[in-house]
Amino acid sequence: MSDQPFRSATGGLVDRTRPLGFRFDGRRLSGFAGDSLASALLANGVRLVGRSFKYHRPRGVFGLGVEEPNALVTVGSGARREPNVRATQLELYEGLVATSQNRWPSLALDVGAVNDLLSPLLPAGFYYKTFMWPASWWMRYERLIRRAAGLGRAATEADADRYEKRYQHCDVLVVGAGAGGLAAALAASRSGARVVVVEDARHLGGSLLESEARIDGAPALDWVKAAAAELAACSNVRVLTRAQAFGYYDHNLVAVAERVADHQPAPDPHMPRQRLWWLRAGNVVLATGALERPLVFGANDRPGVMLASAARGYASRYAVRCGQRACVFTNNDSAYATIAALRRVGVEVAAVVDVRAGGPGVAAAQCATDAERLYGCVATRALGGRAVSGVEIRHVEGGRLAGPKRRIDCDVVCVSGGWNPTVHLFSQSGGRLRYDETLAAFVPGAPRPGQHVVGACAGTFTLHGCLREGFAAGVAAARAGGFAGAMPRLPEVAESAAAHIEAMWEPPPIPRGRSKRFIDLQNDVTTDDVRLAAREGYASVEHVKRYTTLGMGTDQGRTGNVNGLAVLATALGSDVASVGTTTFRPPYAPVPLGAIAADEVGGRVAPLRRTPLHDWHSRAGALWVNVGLWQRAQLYPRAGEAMADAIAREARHVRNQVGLVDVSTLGKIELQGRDVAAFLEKVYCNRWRSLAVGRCRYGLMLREDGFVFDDGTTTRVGEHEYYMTTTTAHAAAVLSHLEFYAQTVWPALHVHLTSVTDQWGAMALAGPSSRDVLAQVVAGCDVSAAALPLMGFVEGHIAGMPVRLFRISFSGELGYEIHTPADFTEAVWQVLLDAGRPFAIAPYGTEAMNVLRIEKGHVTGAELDGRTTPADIGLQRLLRQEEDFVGARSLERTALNGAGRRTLVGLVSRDGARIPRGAQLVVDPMEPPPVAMLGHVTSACFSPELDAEIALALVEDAVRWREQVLFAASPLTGEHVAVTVTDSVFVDPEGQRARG
Amino acid sequence: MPAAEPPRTSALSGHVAEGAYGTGGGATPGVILAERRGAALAQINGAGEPAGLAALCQTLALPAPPAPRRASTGNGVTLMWIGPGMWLAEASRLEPRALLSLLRDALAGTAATVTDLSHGRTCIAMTGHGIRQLLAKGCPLDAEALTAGDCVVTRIAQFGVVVHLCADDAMDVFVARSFGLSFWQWLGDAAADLGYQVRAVAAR
Amino acid sequence: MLLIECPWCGARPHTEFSYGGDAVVRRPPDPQAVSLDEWLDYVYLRDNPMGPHLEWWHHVYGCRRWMRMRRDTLTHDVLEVTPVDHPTGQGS
Repeated sequence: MSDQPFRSATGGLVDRTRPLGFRFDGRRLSGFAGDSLASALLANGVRLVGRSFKYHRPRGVFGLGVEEPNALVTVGSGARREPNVRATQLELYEGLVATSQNRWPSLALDVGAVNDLLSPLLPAGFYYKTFMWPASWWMRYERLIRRAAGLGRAATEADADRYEKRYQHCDVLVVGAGAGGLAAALAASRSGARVVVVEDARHLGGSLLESEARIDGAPALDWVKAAAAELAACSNVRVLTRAQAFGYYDHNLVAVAERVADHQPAPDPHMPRQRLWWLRAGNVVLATGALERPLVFGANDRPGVMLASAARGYASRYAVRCGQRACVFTNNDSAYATIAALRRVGVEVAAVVDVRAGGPGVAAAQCATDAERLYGCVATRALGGRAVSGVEIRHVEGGRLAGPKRRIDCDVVCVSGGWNPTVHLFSQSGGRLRYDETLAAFVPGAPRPGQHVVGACAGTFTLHGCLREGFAAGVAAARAGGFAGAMPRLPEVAESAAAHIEAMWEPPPIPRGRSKRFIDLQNDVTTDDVRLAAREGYASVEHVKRYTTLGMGTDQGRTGNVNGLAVLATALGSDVASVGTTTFRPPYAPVPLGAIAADEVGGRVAPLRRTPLHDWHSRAGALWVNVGLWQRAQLYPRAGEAMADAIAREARHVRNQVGLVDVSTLGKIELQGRDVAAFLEKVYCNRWRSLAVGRCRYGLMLREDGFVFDDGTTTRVGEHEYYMTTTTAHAAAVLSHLEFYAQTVWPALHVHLTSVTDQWGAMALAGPSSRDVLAQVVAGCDVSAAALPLMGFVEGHIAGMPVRLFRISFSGELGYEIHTPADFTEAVWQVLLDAGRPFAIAPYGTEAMNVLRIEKGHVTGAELDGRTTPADIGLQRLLRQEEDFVGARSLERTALNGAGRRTLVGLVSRDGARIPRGAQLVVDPMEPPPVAMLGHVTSACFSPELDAEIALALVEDAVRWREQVLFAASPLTGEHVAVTVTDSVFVDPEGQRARG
Repeated sequence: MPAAEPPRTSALSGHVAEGAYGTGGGATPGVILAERRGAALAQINGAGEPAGLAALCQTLALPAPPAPRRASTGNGVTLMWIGPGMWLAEASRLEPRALLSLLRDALAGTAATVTDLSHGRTCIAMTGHGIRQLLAKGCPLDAEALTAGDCVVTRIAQFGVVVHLCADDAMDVFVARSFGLSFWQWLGDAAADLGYQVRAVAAR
Repeated sequence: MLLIECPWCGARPHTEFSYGGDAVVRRPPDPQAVSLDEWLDYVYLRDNPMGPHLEWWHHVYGCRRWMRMRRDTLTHDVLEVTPVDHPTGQGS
């Protein structure tokens, strides 16, 4: 094992028969299957893994899993480059390529480390204080600061991986598969309840994986294996490993990111890289455990200083020595287990430094028999540069340092400042935290409904207690879901009482001591920074967080938060309970944006809606335009034809010959029932009772505030059957609006509403020859001018396919809307094109349709923008007087009447310049501001019929400005165009053509 | 009046390529996908009162009134519950206008009304052991709790759908026709890790 | 993601619904019978309580029924969901 000098020959959960090659900063190294990148680096003696965020200080592996603040690396390259991956959680695979971050030119020789020397100049709030002036320079500062700071660079290419979403329901969700979680899962599963277990690590077991404890006389790992086997055999249990529960939302919805392929060298193209689970549970058991927190002392960030639980984990799980000679520094009993674990892999334990004058409990003390025991002592300073070489030790008496300095040579310092229950998910769910003085930690208060908190997460640190709480919670959760669960037999666990923790937030001050004492390793926040913030008046923990960056970044204060709060409390003369914690928000740990977006990326961000003629348009070479989710044919340019020319040609063709346009996107609603006419009079502002069968009518729909909501035509198809069209944009909103009034305001009216938008394809046949074309193909009905007058309706057949013919005209020409069941639409369209060939029929797109309607002064969404009344758009004559309809009463408002309203007019460009859409109408564009704005341009186009640039606009006092010259000014584009104000109908104002 | 209905062009016409896809090339497919074409479909509204329920029972020879959130079949017509007093009626052997007349005649004199939707929906038939897993990739409902005969109106990904679990391993999903092709493409993506086959004609 | 007990469809996530605003206010049956101020109160004025609040929700991706829901705006607890009056022929 010469290539892994810090690995023991036996033990651990790694597979020594499967060596894996990998690269770190270009160095070829090898580890074993089952390693994390961190354990493999440590096995190879790599101590220095990164540079810190602000001071660029050398940093080494500090933790074992999700709590790691230092060992963030960039993995992969190109589109698969991912920064800020915790080396402690990244499973090793063959060919893995990782690079360190935040260093230049190299990890060992880093120019940015000069920041450490300059650190007296870089206190908390440095950037806020320094880069305030001049304000206009902030943009420059920001770029430099962002380059200097930061943790790695994200890939700039599109993500090369697949992700997916999964919804899963269960009776009992257990988060965390340590002792308490496994016990809860076993108890719940035996009741028959549907159980899901979520574990972040690849193995079940949690801290039992490195525990010396015996359960029922056998190693704890045997119990874990038996539990895992039992759960795996249950059809009512789903176990997710490598799955991080990161968000706890309303009504027991828990979000989980499962790392499906992160540990594989070559992802299966059909498999997602990560899967986002949305788990909806009847009951949730939180068994999220606890994370060890460090002790704070001088230079406590040197590579080699690490959590005692991490050193224990590397020894037990991976058979890796974190160094050769260790010193343990603790204020509680849990770190003593590390001594035995280190010895087993051959690490010499030089000394155990315990803050408590009385030392540990009996069982813990037995672990330390061979080590020097320094009780009532603290480490004041770590020694060494790029790696720790020793620690300075002092006695503490009466809260002061006492006695001589002692130096202990060691290359690893295992620290334990106690344990923080992982209460993040509990807190996200709305649970309140409580500070427990005995544990010196925040623990969950009363659980939310349908929630159970067990084990270390609940502040229970004995194995017996974890198992008991787990079983009880599993039974209670199952029972809450109606499953009869029985309390399992509690296994025998031999445990002796631990001595109490003694809170020690930082050693007493050293006179002239200059070593930084780090609280938040990831964000380089020191005790001095927190004290400075307190001195400068930041008393709220939320403000201190933002001022010092304590607890920010990808780390979110997992190891450092409580120490920081305690230092703040001391500085404020308060206590930890009163200072409280910052708010915990999802995600608990970083989740790739790809996993959150899942399949909704690229062209799948929103689904595309296609008309029945989509494929025809595609074959005809149409240009597309997206209208909401719909894709519509915008125009059909001929080879070499400019867009504007094609639009003009298509529009001219309708005016002179005949054209065909796809209007299938119109909203269509079928209304049936005895009271439809009465209902229409409520929801439209015009009259409907007089409409005869076989007739259509234009309808104007208002909102309750009196403004126009939508318009369209409604046809009386049968005695009690009406067919309504809405605008494309408002189709869904109109249906919901109508349903609201039908169901909640006038429920006594017999009206049934059904959306038939997708049932019917629709096309408009328009132009002087349209009747001639139609007459050739239609059967079963008479389309002569007498039989089918304007606003008439008949049903017939075209080539055997049923059609609904409406004589309505949006273009102003003689025209018909032809609606036909969607599966026939393309065939009917083709029949019309074939029949129209002698009349030179041509398809036209939405652009030409828009030109035709502007020429006719027909309003669309541009004019009906939610701020126009019927009178504003010249449709006051439609209003029924003295009757109730939606919006009627609001029309009495003074503001909706009289002077000052902008009303619809036409504009003609005086010199042929394009009229900018959205431009403001002013008298004199050269007038210095403020300029009186008289109105604005709503729609504009080139009119082939007039051979002029025209527009529709809303303008104040329209009568006064008629035939006057105004300017359409667009400061945004630097244009101002002289326009003559005209009537809004440019073509055929008497409407003779449509009546023809 | 023409004798027979002319051929229909569905939203997926020209877009369905038979074959095996995804993991394992779909050799042992998790799901088999096929479009069900040419069926007659109608929406019944307002048939929740005793008169409407009785009329449906009698016409379709149902032993019991159709229950909420369930589908019931009789005389070649499947009634899928889609809301209070509302059903989606489907008949694969009737022409749309025949289904419409059948239902309108049956419900005459009641408060109920009927609307033809034969061309308004794309129906995808899915079979195989992986259908619930596939459903769970886009639908927030409890796919494992559905039993044969259940019928739910819900959404899959961004699509509004009616899901009818015809059998334990067979499911019909109805989606608005304009979304038909987008939904079909979504299904192909989602089923890749299950392995899937595409067939031109649905088995049922 | 709230879980809403639709009286018709059962428990559904709120992503199937659209929010319809305050359900405390009622449209005056005869708008002409109230003063313009009272009418404008109905159109524009809404309370914004912290705690239980009566709201309209529309099951758009489901049965398409509107329903009244009493929801605690502070805790997001759904306290009660009630269907609107049976319209003609609705039944169950």
